[in-house]
Amino acid sequence: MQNKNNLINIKDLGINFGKASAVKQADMIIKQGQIMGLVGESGSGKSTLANAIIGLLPHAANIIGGTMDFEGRDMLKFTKNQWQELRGREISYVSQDPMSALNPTLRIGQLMVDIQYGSDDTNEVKLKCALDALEQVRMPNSKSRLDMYPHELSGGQKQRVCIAMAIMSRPKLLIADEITTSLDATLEVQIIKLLKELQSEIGCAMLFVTHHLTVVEALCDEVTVMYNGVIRETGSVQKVFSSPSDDYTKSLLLCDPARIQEKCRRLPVMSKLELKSISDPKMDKARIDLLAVPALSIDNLRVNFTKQRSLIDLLQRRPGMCIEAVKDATLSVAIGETVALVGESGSGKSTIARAVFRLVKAQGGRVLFDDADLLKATPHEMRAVRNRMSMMMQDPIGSLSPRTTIGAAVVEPYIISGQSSELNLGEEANRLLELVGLPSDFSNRYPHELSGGQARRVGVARALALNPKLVIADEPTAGLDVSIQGEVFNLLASLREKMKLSILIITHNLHVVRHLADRIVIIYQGQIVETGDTETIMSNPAHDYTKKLLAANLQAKY
Amino acid sequence: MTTITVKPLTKFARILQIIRELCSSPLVVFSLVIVLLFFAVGITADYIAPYDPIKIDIRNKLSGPSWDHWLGTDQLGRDVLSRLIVGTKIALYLAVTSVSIALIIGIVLGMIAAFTNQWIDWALLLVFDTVKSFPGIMFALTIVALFGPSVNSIVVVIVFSTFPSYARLVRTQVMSLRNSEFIEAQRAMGSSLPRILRLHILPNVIGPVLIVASMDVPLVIGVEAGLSFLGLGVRPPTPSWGSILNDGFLFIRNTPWIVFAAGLPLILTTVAFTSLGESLRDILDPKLRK
Repeated sequence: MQNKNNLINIKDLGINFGKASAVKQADMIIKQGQIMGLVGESGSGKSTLANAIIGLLPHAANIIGGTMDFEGRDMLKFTKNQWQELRGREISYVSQDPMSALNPTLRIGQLMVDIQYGSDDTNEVKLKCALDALEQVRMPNSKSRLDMYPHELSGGQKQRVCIAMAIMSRPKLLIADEITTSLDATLEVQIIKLLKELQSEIGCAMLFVTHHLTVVEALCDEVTVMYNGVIRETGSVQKVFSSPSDDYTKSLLLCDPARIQEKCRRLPVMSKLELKSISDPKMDKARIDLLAVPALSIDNLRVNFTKQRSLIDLLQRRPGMCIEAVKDATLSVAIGETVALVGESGSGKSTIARAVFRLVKAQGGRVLFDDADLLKATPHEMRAVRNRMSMMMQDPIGSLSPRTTIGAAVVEPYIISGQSSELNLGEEANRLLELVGLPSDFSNRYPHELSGGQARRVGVARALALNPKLVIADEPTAGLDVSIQGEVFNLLASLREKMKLSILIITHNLHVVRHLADRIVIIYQGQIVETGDTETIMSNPAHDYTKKLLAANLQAKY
Repeated sequence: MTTITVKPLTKFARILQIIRELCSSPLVVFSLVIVLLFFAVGITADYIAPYDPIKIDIRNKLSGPSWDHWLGTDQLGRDVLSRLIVGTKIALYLAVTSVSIALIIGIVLGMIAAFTNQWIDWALLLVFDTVKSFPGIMFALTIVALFGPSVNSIVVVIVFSTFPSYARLVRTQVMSLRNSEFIEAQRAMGSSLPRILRLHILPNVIGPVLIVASMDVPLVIGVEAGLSFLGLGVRPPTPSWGSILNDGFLFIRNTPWIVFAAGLPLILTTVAFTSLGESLRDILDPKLRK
């Protein structure tokens, strides 16, 4: 029964949070040197299972049954000291958020020396080990990084440091919990490539927890699919992805927007797979009114950020540092059209949206909306304009005021624009919630009681309250599960058909946005490098950066 | 208007939940009782005091506790219990007025500092730090020398010495909220600055500030007692906890109960307000909630 190759052998494991069960009768085997992907939606219990393997379950969690072995040793009988011996030496862990995983008050070198507290070597030897590890994770200028603080590194570099720290002890198992989720598509590809190389160099096994199916395809040997605390399917990646046997896995694969080749009018969702319908170019054309004046046109927009000057700079009349965030950007959105503005983080795409709303100051150019230049509008005129265009912020929960109920939040636009007296706000709140498919009893809830997908719907409802002509949506699907991504897209698609809405979507995810967008605008380092029809850009990109971006957006293989 | 009618209900439920959580620890229940008693006695002082607190009865001076005078009498034959009860009125008045005035000034200035331009922020910070760094006793002596010893002089002293901490706390909190996405969303919808401050910033900063304020209440009572003890506070013959302590202190060898009688409520309210403030902070902290 006990196979020598099995590193981790879990049988019938059950974990409860209080009375609610988080993991039910889980079986999992990780062989030596194997990369195992663990896939599931948020709340499916995949992180709980990963935490159980490293013995870091929260206090509220109880293991209620089953067995869990590491190289034949019973992990459930481990004492605190035995766990400590194991962690960081034989099992390492890399967490989701590289921004908060590193102590901000220590230099990278200090952090990496500190993690070798168990060894008796001198600090020079430890520093040498740290340098080796940084080189192993292909950190550029690795030597100078040792003297840097975490905030001086970019997100991808920080994640490399986390991985370097995890592999320094040559662990037998590396647990990676959603480590690419907070990274851009291009960085994601680099990290996946790095992990593959490391695995062949060091030969450690990996447990890769993610909700991103294409990442699993690109990286893993085996995959385990989890839903609602139950392991639904386990097998080699090729087998599970090409011929899934479980119904849940089947629908999950069918719903992933990145796996649907043809452009869709409606995406299938987990509960309604038959919803899928291919888009009709004729209908799309009819929706867009190219002859009329565009809903929004941006001409040569320039936005500079000046770094705040210190008191000494001010006294010496030194000018502040200036960063060009947007350089002469020109784009337009026709009436009824959906345009996607695509670029990596820091490319200035969100800055364009914020400049349109005058949340940041633009240094030059014109923003034409309803024949008026918004950059020259008075605050009073701007107020009127804000009733006719609205913005969906990036963070669905964070963009809702934490002490305001949902019902009060969705009708806020009426109150702000001074239209509240003629309306029954309670009824209006119910109407808006119904529009986005939320039950009316949600109006008494607070933002922290919602899931990401529900909060996103509230954001859509609030954006549509005043029947705007233009909606700017900043990363409408970021951080959402595959199944919910489809729902949000269908919602936007049906609303634009009903209301002749113009939409500007800001995103870094080309494969998801191509279903909805009529036109794609690519932005790179503050400059718009390519504009074109969705089909043209996807099939025949002209600019080098677009090609790079397309290559970085992982393609489904099976 | 379903949303508006249902909203208070959920708030009411939330308050009930806070009270239930408060009652789970005996120390907190004890504190709650003391604080409620403090308010009740302070409000009804003139009706429940058994004797006139300033009526002199020399023949009966410095008599020990008896059925007629539960806490005895002082050097002028005045009933100590009555003086203590009426003194609670002054302590309550001081606590409520000075803390709320300091709170309002602190919140307003803190928000202004966080939301206006850099120069005003710097100027206000300079004001806060200057006021804060001024030695308390010196400031109190100056105010008393200028306006004479009175309850309102004490209010001025306390307001000036506590508002900078509220303002600093509010400023820091508002600054961290200022760039958050829900504030940006409000600006994108065209909310005016007063509306953002009132509806979206204030509710999110008021909790921690109120808790600091509740922990400042005993400080206020202590300052009054201290100043009155030094003869700089409430003018005799008006009774206050500090002046009773002061009177008792002069005769501590013969009649120690006067000092105890005035000291005990001071200690009890201090402990009660502090422990209530601390447990309120634990319950209202969003990280400890859920």
